Amino acid sequence: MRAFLRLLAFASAVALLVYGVLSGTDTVWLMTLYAATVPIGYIFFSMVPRETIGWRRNTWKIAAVLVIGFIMLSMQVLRQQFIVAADVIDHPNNPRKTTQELRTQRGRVFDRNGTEIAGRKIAPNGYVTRTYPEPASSYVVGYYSATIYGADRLEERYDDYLSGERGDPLERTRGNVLHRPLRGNDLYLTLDARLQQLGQELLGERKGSIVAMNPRTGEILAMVNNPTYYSADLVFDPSLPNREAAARVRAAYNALIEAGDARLVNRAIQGLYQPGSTFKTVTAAGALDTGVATPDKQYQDTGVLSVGGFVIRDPNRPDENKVQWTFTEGYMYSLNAVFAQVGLNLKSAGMREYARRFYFEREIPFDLQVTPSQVLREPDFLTDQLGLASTAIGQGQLLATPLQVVMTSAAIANGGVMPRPYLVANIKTPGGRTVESRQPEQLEAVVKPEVAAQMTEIMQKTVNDGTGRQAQIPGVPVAGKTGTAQLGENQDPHAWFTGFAPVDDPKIAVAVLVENGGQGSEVAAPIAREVVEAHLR
Amino acid sequence: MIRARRARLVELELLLIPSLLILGGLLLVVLVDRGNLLFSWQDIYVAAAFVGALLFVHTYLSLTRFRGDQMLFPTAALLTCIGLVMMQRFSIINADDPELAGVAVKQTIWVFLGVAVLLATVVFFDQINKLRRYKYTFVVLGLLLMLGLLVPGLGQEINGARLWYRLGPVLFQPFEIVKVLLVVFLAAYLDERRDLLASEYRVGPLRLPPLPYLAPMAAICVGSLLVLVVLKDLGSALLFFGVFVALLYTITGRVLYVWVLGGFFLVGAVVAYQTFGHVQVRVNTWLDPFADVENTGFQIAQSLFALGSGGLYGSGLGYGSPAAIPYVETDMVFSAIGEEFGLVGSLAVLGVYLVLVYRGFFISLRARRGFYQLLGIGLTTIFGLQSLIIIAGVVKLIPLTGLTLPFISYGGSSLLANFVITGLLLGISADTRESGR
Repeated sequence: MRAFLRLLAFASAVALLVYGVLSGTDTVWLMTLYAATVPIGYIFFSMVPRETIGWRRNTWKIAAVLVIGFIMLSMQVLRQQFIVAADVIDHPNNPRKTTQELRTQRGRVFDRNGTEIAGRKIAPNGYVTRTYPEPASSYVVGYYSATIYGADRLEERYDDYLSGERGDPLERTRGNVLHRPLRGNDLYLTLDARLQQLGQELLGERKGSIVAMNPRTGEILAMVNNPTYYSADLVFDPSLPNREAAARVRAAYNALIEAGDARLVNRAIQGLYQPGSTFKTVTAAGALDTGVATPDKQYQDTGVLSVGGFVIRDPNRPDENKVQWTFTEGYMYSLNAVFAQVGLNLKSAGMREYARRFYFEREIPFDLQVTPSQVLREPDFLTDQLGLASTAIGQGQLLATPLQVVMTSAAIANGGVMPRPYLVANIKTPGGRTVESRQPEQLEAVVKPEVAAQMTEIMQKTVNDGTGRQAQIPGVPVAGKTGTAQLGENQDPHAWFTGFAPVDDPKIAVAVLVENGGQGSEVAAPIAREVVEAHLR
Repeated sequence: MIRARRARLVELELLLIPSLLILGGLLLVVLVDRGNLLFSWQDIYVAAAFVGALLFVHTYLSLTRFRGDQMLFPTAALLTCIGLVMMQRFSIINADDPELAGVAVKQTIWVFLGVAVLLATVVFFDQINKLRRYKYTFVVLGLLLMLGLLVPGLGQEINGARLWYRLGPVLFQPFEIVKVLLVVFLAAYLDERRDLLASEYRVGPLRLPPLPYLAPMAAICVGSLLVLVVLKDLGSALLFFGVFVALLYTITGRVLYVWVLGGFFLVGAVVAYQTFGHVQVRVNTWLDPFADVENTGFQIAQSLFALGSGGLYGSGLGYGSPAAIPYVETDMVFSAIGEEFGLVGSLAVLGVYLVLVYRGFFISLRARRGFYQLLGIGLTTIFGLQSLIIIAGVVKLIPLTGLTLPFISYGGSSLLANFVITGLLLGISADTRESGR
């Protein structure tokens, strides 16, 4: 009977404690822990030997009370050190997080030639400072601002690898056993730090963005934004007193925000701009792919075109007396009246279909979050004739990221197949073993290979004899398209150029955007030429 | 068999544990990778001297054919050794922290003094009967010593409580000694009135305790509690109250006393909660330390961070961040152990205290003289309850009160008192066997 009661008491104590653990809150847990002393007390008191009497029996009971106290302590220690430990550690007031963060030997980041973009400096006391030796590339990597702003861009996206949380499990174990600070994994990028430097110089004081990629593989070769920030300004310097170091980082960050020019925005993938005539590539490819147009098809262009009661003006005609233009000429000289007709032929469904095939309105899979480009804001915009016509010539409600624009060219260069863009080629452990490696991938076919070949020819003619002449490189066949996105009365237009080279074996596709820069043919095309030339040299 | 017992082989074997632990511990502290290897032979000397002191006590006890308990001293030595290693770790690795930089050297000095005091207590144990004879004198002197803390200029206030006298370079906490005197008094008093107390008389249907016989003791106890409450030393008040109830229960075996006194205590606690702001703060931070994590909840929150970060196996000796916890070298030392040795280490330390308590009760139960029985039970309850109260506060089981962790915490008065208690328990254990032969 007594044994049964003890078993019952034990079971109820266990049940109480389990309930306390599962309930989750501290107060309920403490209440169940205190309540559990009653059955546990019964067990202990019933175990006092019967033969002991008087003060000895009383002493046994006092000892039992102390033992119950120690059991409660053990339970509470078990809770604090095991059951709720993870939650407690993550509390922002726990100073250990800071110490651990500052001691983590974060992985380095290298460009395609092995140039260090993000590195580390380890002080004798074990504290690590993040270094960014390549200012023009560092903001692609982002910043790592220990203890304050955390991380951004690749530093954030690959934080688990860079901090060593992921990667080589042996490395972690080794660190734990030997009490070595965690060593992170190194990232090897497809980026070319020299191109970054050049792009930054070419943009100079002008706002804008340059994106270059290998159209065959999707490797991002350059991703330049202007204005930008220097990641090094946001690094927490552990050699300074904590407050001072934090104050510096905060001041630098606030200065970036107060500058008011969206320096923290990654224009290349987050900036949405009117694509202007660069979008005519989408319209043209769609028209050729569906068969509503051929390169030699004739269109009438008298300088104005009336659509749905409105007039589309065409200021781009090189010869005001000529009224018959071929499809190819329409593209070469970026004739709005011609492409408005092409768009009307392609119809609203075809227009939207090809925009989507080129990844408008879709998430572009990439190492960083890319803002999807926009075809229309109002759902029925394309059903309207004027809406359809203005979209076809790159106006309307279109908004595109520079990455979207370069991918349009890349798909043409790649024989009509969209390559998957990527920045991180390899991730290697501190010991040099590759843990993650990205192979080039093709996303999907956009247009037929013949259409891509026709488009390549048309784009090459554009550079040779059309609006893109300033992108010509002696000895290298270049294909491309200019764009001049009209913004309204009082603003200069955005200057665009996108293209690829060499035409027979494309190695680089590029998109250049200069915000309010003026004519694409005069402002953006020369920049693109310099970048392409530097890469092919 | 008899030779073996005289040679105290069990004690010698058990002393191996603290000896190896202190050598290993101090070496480990030196080997912690801090960027520079601050190795000094001093650390090894300290370990060697500590082992020497242990062996000296052991040899002395063996040579004098001391027949007392063989487990108690190694257990106390083990806890002392854990404390020494922790102090060394604080001093060396947190050398830039002014609070922690000097604790190792001072603790080492106190440990050696403590070992000497322990030997002295064992040697002069028989004289305790004199102390017993003048029990009122001693206990009143002790209470006056406590009251003296209230005299402006005499008592030193630290962290909002006036619990220390300054004697030249050292701070002396009188309650550490007074608590031993109080237990001696209670044991002597209760032993003398053993039979009377067990009796009772009836008033109608009520069975009443022999109240007149309890009056002097009640006066002393209530007086002590009041002094402690006025001094805001709630941990000590709880400790003393607990020991008093334990001894009273041992003698009378009447649960009624426990309920009545417990009721008084609860009423007192409620009154204290409503009267004193600091009591409210303690209770509120116990219920939710993170509500005011920057101020009132800071200490307990830091303790919980340390324990949580320790996890199952701990960060390893020297690799935690104990300097973040206020008073980590005294009251909060258990958090530092929890962080660096993990749940495994915390439970091990709890286990060692259980062994200490077990041995204390074992000795008391075997004691032949009634006074020694009660004295042993009282002193053992001090060890057990004091560890329980401070650790429970540190792990957020009860509101945090200021008490030292016996043998481990930094502090001269506390260490000396603990070694006196160990000496007394050893004396009790020896007396039993001799007279029981």
